[in-house]
Amino acid sequence: MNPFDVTKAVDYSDQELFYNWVDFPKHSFQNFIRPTLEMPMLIVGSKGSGKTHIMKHFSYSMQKIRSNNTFDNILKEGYIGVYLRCSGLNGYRFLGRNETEETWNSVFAYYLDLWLSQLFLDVIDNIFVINKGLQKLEGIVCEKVLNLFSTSKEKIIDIRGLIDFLKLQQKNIDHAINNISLSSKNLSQSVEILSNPGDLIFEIPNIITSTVPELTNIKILFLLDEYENFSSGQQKYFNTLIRERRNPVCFKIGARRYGLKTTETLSADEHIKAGSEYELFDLDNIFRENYVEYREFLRNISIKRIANSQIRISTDISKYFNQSNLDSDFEIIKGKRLHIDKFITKLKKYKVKNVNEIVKNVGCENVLIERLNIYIIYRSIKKGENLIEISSLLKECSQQYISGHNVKMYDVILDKFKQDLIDALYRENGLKLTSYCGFDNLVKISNGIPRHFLMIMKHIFRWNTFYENDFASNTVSTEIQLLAIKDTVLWFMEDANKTDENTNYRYSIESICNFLRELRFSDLPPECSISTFEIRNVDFNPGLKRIITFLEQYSYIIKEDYGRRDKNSNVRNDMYQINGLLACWWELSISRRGIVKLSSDKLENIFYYNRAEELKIMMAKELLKYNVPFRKENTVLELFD
Amino acid sequence: MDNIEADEKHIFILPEYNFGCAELAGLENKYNLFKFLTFDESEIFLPYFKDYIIPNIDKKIAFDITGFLRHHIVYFIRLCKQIGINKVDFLYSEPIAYKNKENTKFSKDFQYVREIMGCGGSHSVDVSNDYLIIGSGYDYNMVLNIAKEKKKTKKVQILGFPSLQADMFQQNVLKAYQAEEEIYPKIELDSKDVILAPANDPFVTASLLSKFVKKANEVSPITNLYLCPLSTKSQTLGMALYYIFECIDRSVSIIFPFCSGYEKETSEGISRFWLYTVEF
Repeated sequence: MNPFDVTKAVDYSDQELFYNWVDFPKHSFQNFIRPTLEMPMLIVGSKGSGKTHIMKHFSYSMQKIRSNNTFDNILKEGYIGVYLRCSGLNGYRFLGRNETEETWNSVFAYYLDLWLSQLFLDVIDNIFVINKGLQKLEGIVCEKVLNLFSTSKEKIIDIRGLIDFLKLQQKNIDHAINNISLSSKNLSQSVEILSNPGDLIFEIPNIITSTVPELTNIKILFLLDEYENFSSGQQKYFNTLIRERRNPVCFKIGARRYGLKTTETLSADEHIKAGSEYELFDLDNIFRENYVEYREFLRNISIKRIANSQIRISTDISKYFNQSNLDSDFEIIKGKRLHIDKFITKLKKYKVKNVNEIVKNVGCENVLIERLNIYIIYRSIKKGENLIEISSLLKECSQQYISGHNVKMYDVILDKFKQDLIDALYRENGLKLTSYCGFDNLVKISNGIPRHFLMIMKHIFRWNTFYENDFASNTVSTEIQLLAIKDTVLWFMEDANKTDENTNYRYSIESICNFLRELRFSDLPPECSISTFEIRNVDFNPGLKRIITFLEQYSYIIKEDYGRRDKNSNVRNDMYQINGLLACWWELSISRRGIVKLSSDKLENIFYYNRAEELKIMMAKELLKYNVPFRKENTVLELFD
Repeated sequence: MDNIEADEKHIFILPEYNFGCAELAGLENKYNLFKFLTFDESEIFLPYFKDYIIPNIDKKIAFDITGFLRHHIVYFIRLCKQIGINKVDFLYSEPIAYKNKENTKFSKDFQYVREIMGCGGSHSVDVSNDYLIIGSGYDYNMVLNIAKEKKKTKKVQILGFPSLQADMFQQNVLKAYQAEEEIYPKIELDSKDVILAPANDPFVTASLLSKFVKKANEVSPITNLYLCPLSTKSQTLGMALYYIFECIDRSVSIIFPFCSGYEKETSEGISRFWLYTVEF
């Protein structure tokens, strides 16, 4: 059995969710979420960040499990969590069919009130069942709740009856909506709204906590998951409830990064404000900013899942993953020496004199130093230096280095470009880049999105089974890790297939990654560890802004929080790093060091799929600057006669 | 079309196919063409039923589902049930092959998911055991779109087996694997989450669907059920029949990923014609 088959909380039952729960080390999710906090909280995170798992953890069904179904233990938590999955409400039915937006909005508001109230009363009904002493209060509760409805004078004596009454009101709306397209009867003719917007959501909890003495100080926490499934109009109504929140009700709203479609409310279209009317909790940022704890979190999840599958492993999980083995790989490279062939071809193509001697001088038994020497020769070509002299110097340096001495010139370059040179060596010799392998790197690649890591693990176990490799007794090879990364990338790219208004997001992603890769593997890359780009004034360019927002919201690019100040204008520029999974696929760095500065014009050429021709020309021009013979277009380099 | 005897022959020109005048020129004088600009199935069929079907309710109706879009087929059947039509013959012509095998493109520009008009149930607030049953065809982007809309439901696929042609089942499965992560944790053809139903038999499809739901309810009651027809038109018919006979007034809806356009020519040749007679 694959311990990582389940990568989504939805595929777990409540018991399984409880069983597989792993808290965030050191801080604990409880401290971030603060379920009894009165200020509403918007929890945003990428697909797979774990929002559902966290929100369900605070729901009544989980409270019940962890308190062994004991009423007193639930009360100790200080709140009762009512979990709503917004997609379950089928918000898409509240539009079109020749009805006005106004009609739909008022019907939706009533419908949502009925829906949330049913969920809440379901929980209360359950509490009354596990604490039979409370049942004597049901009649009073029902009477007070029914008073919230304008016409109903029903005789309802218990909570179950009250839920049935609400269900009936909801059913009437469902029928009315359905009948629009079967009988041409419009909505306002058939739907009767019996309560004021928000009254049911705020007043029913108030009635319960004021009538049931044991619940007096208990908060009623509504947890709305998948807020992105509500339309702007629907969110506008709920934003109004956020603004007008009344005790004992609290709200936690979970949404994808792009999930909050509007901050407008129905109060004269005013906006709710982060900080004063709701707190914004960015799950991705928490994971990204607390790398040590995040690593520990993923380690704990992995160990728990593997242990739950009856596989015995040690707690030092990183030892089960093979990492890049430079010694053996360098031996293979030594046998091939294709980087030297490429070097010779280049020098000959540009008619450099004394090629044989230069090549002989840069040669070294340590292939990394040999590649470093090539890099230095490229740099000398750019500077117009005497290549024979430089190569002779490099010969000496190599000998010193091999005999264990420090070579300052080498140290300076290796400090910045070591990984780039290693990756270039692999690439030039036709080997797959293995620098992404190993537990720590897989954690890094996931960029604070646990599901990305879990997906990689899922595919690792699959390939392990395919190759009949036992996880507990053998390490996972770099080949299997790379195959697993590839499978995960294919899944990750699926969301990029969206197209709108002359935009092809998949093309934009491929294009920026290709561009950065070409720069990274040029002869003299402009920066080390390329995978981050910087752009200024993107706010003034709506087309670019739309693409960047999409890529950022889906975590294809990760926005660096503080950006960077432009040296000349002092304007703070936006900085984005390519997602780790994409970085692996496009052989970019998974570390953030060098930053490629891009103008709006360049980025437009890269992102707009109708500018493929312009991009080709731009890339050719750009690469001329970083590849031998390092010249601007139409200029003749005197060095090569 | 020419070989069928009928008092009136009506052809619907749907905006999703984006036909040009030249393409329609040969049909203009031969048949009664109904050209639509609306994408809304109820705006197409409600007036049509009022003007043509209800006044002729005692006559025989044959409905060729081959070129209609899936949501039109479902809505047509739902309306037949609503107004009390007794019997309709459905015609279907089976292709020899799809143009680019499993990579054939069918739909263009996904817009949104909604329920097919008249097929919305009243759903339960308890979503703990919601099911989405997808009739899965080659159009896997659409399967993904529907799976993403109902992210947190248990998903079941109906695959066409036996398929229309021998190689189509394998092609279908190849596409099914592409959506695996969004649909299941793991795809297994012999799993309980796959229904194998003949690609050209709506009645067996409806019957297998009914059996599956009954069985699933016995294990643990389904809280809400969503159906999505994305496979062959015959299976779409089967899903619609199951809905109108067993699901109306229950917490069941037929939902669909709507697109702004569809490819006109996706298949090659005709291997067989089918006549399905439905008595409501």
